[in-house]
Amino acid sequence: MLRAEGLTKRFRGGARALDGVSLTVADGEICTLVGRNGAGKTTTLYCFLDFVRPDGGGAWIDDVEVARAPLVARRGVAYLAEQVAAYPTLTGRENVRFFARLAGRADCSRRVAADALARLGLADDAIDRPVRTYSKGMRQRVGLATAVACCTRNLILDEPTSGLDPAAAGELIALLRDLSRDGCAVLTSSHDLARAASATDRAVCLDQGRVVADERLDGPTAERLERWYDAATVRQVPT
Amino acid sequence: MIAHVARREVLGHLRSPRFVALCALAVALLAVGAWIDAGRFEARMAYADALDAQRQSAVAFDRAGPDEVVWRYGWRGGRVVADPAMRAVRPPTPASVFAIGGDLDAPGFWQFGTEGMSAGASTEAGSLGGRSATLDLEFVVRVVLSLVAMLLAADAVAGDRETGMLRALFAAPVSRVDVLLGKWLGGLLTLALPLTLGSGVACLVLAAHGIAVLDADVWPRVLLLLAGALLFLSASLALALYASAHCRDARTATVLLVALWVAAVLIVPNGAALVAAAVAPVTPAEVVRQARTDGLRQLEVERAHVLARLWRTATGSDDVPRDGRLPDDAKRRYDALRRGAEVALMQRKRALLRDLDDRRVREERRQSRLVGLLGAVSPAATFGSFAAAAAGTGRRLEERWEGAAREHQARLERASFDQMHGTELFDARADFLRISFLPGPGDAADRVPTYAEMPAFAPPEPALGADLADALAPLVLLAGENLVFLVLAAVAVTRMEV
Repeated sequence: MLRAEGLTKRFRGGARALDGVSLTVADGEICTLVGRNGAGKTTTLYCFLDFVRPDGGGAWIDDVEVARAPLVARRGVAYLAEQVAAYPTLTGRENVRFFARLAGRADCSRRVAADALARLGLADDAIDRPVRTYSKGMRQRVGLATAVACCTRNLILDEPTSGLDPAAAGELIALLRDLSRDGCAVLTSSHDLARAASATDRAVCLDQGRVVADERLDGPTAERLERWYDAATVRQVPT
Repeated sequence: MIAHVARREVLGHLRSPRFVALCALAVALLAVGAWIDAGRFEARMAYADALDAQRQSAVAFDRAGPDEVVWRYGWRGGRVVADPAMRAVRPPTPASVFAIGGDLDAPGFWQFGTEGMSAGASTEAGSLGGRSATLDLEFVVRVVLSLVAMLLAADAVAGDRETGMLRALFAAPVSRVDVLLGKWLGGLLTLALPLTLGSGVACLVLAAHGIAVLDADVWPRVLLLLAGALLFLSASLALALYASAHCRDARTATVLLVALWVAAVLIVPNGAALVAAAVAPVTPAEVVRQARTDGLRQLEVERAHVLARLWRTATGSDDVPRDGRLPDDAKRRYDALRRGAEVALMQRKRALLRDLDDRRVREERRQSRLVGLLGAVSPAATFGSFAAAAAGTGRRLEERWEGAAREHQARLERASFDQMHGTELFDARADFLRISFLPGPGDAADRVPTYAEMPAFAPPEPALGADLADALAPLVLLAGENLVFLVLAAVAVTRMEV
């Protein structure tokens, strides 16, 4: 479970990035942060990873406060950046083993890594190829496979479908659904409402660092989400 | 976790074509450098052998005609007499093939004479190979491998930051300091590969040239040199990681680190020499030479006056025999009077020359110390000092030989140079015309000693312990720099925004 309470952050220069952001992502739930560029989506995600120290409030991963025990908290979460990071000279299997061991899974054998990659749909002949030969979609599978290999209960993804073609984006969303069905709490960010609509259980709309709407949207369509988003953001425009 | 990150770093570098190419270049340079240095060592050895052969030939000539020797001693117009038999020849230092240090600059021989001791030309003076042509282990580590260290560090932090790898690493439940130390250790292990491989190949090349790299005086120095090289590369890596942590992309980091490398390897050492030359100048050699000439001329005139006066005292007349016939009783009285005066004059003469030389040596050493002090800002300069000391080619090399030569000169002065051989008269009325008489063949006290009767020169023993003690100070400095740079890098990485 991921939980944020009253996150506030002001960057150097005085720009307010977060202004009392609170949200909870339950186990088995996919929650998407939506909003314009600079709304505070990535900053919120970074508070869970201790990349950004909030000025006020806090973030919890499985009831461990990130600011108090960042290393313990990070044991319970896997993170995938927009540009999925994987060592290009290592193979997919070696990348999974490296990050799994870094996460404390010293028992992540070659077979465990291969199984995780296979579960994520990576072809057998690709598993032992250097990652530099992978497409972005394949690299994302490597990142998710690390989470699977580590049995991570929480997943944070920053703009996961950005730069993916529709087929690859659809496959990724299906994988996320699969992981959430296993009880994984998934927190993502997106400004692509059409894709977010099919990927999320809940949407949290951020604007100027504040949560302006937080609703569970059962089976949302892109159109419904867009209307909801417009309504949420228009409410913030001063009259 | 540090070891885990380090292992990944090593694996990543070994699979990088760029690193493999740089590694091959370093190994090739070390092998070629060893081959060149072996050739230069043989040339220096041949020079020393030639000087020694000349010395032995001169000693053999002495046996053939001892009377000839008399003209090599005495005042002889105020010049230091260059008798090849009276030389101490310095062979090149075996470990100089790994770090040439001061082995090229140190005199190739020391000349002993009645007027004092003088340093001869260095072993490679005027030859094609100069200091800039050096391609020894110390040079390859200081210049090439330190650059490789910089490039590795540029990728390790700024490169990973640019590609997002750093974010992925920092998202893992590992402290940033552990990640940094893993990258540092991985880089160091990676650099150890071309260093050990290249050194091994270099040793094989040197052994093939007949240079005893396994000699008891050489191999401990090589091991220490390699340990110091690793420490220096570690400091370079730590400094580069610190600088790299302030850059957002690999290209900026590479430019910054190359600039840093230029400063550390080229600008600081050369700048230190320039500043030291300005702050602590050394009297030009020509000024010293002129001062010697003037001082000797003045003493020559004084000697002529003193001896002419003593002759007058001994004989009651200014008349000097010009036909080579010197009455025995007059000679005895004159010699008795002049003995003390001659020794005193000779000692004054030597003191004058020694003071002038010592002053210049003192100035040179002061300047050299200042260069070392200013250069300590750069780990590259510190490593250079360390390598020279470890190889036995540091400042102690010349000091040790010069000390032994001074002792030998003092022994020769007591045994022969302070003795009077033959007689010299000065005719005051004929503007101090000099008239010389050879030693009387029948006069045992007047006999010039043969070379065999003179003390033999004892060359200084290789002082491994003292050299290693000298290498300790720069080694400690490098260790300190390591610690400082690593702490700075750790602070920078901890505060870094990803």
